[in-house]
Amino acid sequence: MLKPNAMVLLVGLMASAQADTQPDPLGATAAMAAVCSGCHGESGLTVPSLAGIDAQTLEVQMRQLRDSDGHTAMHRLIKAYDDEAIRGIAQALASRRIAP
Amino acid sequence: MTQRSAGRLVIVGGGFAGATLARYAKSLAPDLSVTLIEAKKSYLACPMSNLVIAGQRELDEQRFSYQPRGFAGVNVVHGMAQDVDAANRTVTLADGSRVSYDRLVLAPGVALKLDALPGYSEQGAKHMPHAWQAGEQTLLLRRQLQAMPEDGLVVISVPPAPYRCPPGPYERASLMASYCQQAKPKAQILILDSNDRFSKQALFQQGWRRRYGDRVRWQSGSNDGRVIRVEPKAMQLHTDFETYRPDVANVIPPQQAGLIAHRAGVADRTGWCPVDSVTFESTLQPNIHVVGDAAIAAPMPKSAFAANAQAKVCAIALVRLFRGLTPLPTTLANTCYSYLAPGHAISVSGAYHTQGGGFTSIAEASGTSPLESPEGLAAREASHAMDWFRAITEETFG
Repeated sequence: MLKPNAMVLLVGLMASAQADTQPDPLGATAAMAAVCSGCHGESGLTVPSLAGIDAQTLEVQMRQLRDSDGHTAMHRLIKAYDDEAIRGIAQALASRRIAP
Repeated sequence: MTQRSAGRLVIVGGGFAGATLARYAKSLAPDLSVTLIEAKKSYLACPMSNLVIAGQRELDEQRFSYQPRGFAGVNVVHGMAQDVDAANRTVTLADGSRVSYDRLVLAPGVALKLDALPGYSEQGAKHMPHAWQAGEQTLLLRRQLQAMPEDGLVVISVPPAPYRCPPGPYERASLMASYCQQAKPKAQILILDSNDRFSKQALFQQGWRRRYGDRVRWQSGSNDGRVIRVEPKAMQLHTDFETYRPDVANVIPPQQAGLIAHRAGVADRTGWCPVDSVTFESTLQPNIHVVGDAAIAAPMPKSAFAANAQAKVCAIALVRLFRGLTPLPTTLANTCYSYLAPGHAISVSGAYHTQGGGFTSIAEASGTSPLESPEGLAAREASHAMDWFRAITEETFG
């Protein structure tokens, strides 16, 4: 049995390790993110590809979109997601392997 | 009982819902046995087919096949599913063979009720095409439009909702009007509608007025717009009070879930399939899920976008079920693009929560393109529409 201080340290290490692991491809945010690829393919002319963009950049872009005044479908749809959902979706999108 | 795979998932129907689900489930869980049963060797997509009717696109651009490269790991069976034995968990094909499943997904799309409108029939569709399944009917309607006199009358008959693709008839009227503006200067298009309102109505009607003047007219169900009987050979359509003799008659028949859903016992009295919104499992039969047009997912419309989105979310739920994990509610979305003219489109979108077994619209995320549209928006939305078509067909068929 570890001493209490060591236990706290170990739990702390495990928690930060969790934050670095890939988001669950079967999780709630993965399901939300799954919808995006219906429009966001890799060869769009005006609908941007979401592939190969890091999670932080995606998150900032999604929040900016939500706060902007626009008239496209995406300007409307983004309002369905709060900050937590946007973070989760950005992480899920950034971690996604391209389907065969 | 030992199983070589983590479970047997069988999908009937290789359209925007079924084919997407097969590919997505296999990529999420390579250890799952995934079988896709589809009668046809290739698929003709309906979205964008109104452009084909208006002479702006070729039918070949609508065709997609089930290449092994795109369906790696999926057992694609080209056969017609005839029956489902829900108790024994088997699907029987037309050739008598049986496919066993642990979980079944039915994604058969819609069946056109060709005999529901008095006077209409499969034969009748050769004179008054529905063109509500892409293919020969699309080309027939295009030929008829091109052959009609310069001052011809086109009638489009719209069935009572729900039907596949709510804005479809009105997009068709728009693109036909665009064609007529160039090629049939005195032609008129009359929509005889069994309904009293329609998707993106204000936008369509404004678009028609601004672009086509009086060329496109719409008659609501309450205003004698409901077609009650047709005579295809004589080219006549009857409402309660009027008889119309158009040069071209596009009769869109009432619809219901594809036949296999009825055989499997997952369709209710409405002819559509009630499902749980989290798993898309039928509320009438266990272990059978329904996605796409056949499912009752209102207020989500019956659209290709919705079919593809539901399929991916259902695939995740299915893999969770196979793994013994509780499926989770999520947020679904839909966007439908409609052309007012070649290169100019409008959109309607919606988002939906799936907690509690139903689909709840998220008001802030739902709406249409603005009526007073900024310069260039309609052109941009047309570009978005094409990008959507390319993205969704790539995701569905590989």
